[in-house]
Amino acid sequence: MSERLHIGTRKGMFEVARHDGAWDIVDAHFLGDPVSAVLAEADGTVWAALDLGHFGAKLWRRNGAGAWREMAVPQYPPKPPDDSDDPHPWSLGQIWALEPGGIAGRLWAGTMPGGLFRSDDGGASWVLNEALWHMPERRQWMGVAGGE
Amino acid sequence: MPTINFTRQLERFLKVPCATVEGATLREALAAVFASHPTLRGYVLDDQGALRRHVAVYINGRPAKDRTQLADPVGPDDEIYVFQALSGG
Repeated sequence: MSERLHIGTRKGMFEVARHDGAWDIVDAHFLGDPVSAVLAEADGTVWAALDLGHFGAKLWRRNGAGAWREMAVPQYPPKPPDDSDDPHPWSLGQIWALEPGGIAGRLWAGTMPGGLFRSDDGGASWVLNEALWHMPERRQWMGVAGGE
Repeated sequence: MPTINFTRQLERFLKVPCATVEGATLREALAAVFASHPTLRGYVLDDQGALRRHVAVYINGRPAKDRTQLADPVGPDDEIYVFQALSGG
């Protein structure tokens, strides 16, 4: 069982480790910035999604004890002109879920609006899950990431 | 050629230039900067290429009018400033 937690908060990401039965904050990252999702993988890779109010959603990756590196974020396709009854923006608001894909380099990201993206190259590029995005029921989805 | 200045707030995240660039519109001028600083694009524009909601752009002290197509004309002596807007509550 892991003795280290990675906790995303509205004021940064904190690493908490257990020593002698007590939990202590041992490191902090992105201080002052909202961290909307965190993923710590078994191989030591850590992902942090930021929700920078003025400057948009960002995704950073760190391999082990290495330096943080900014990665690509999911991008939505242009909204079709004849789709004006879709109440949701076709534009990335924030990343609010990150999950490992089970094979090297694969990562899933859930976003606001309610889209699912997959990366097969370690976060260098993303592909929208079109089948889920084009479900008619998607237009009624609500309540993601604290409201939309 | 127009000059573009970016808010120092962006330096928390990445290097930002003060650049003199080619371009007859705001979009062309920004594109010239993003060509050499590609990560900066996502901080200023959203994934549809429009100005981010809370980013403000001024051309010679006047706010840019076309925040979607960025079609505001810019002249060779113009100064473009990219700021974060005051927002929230």
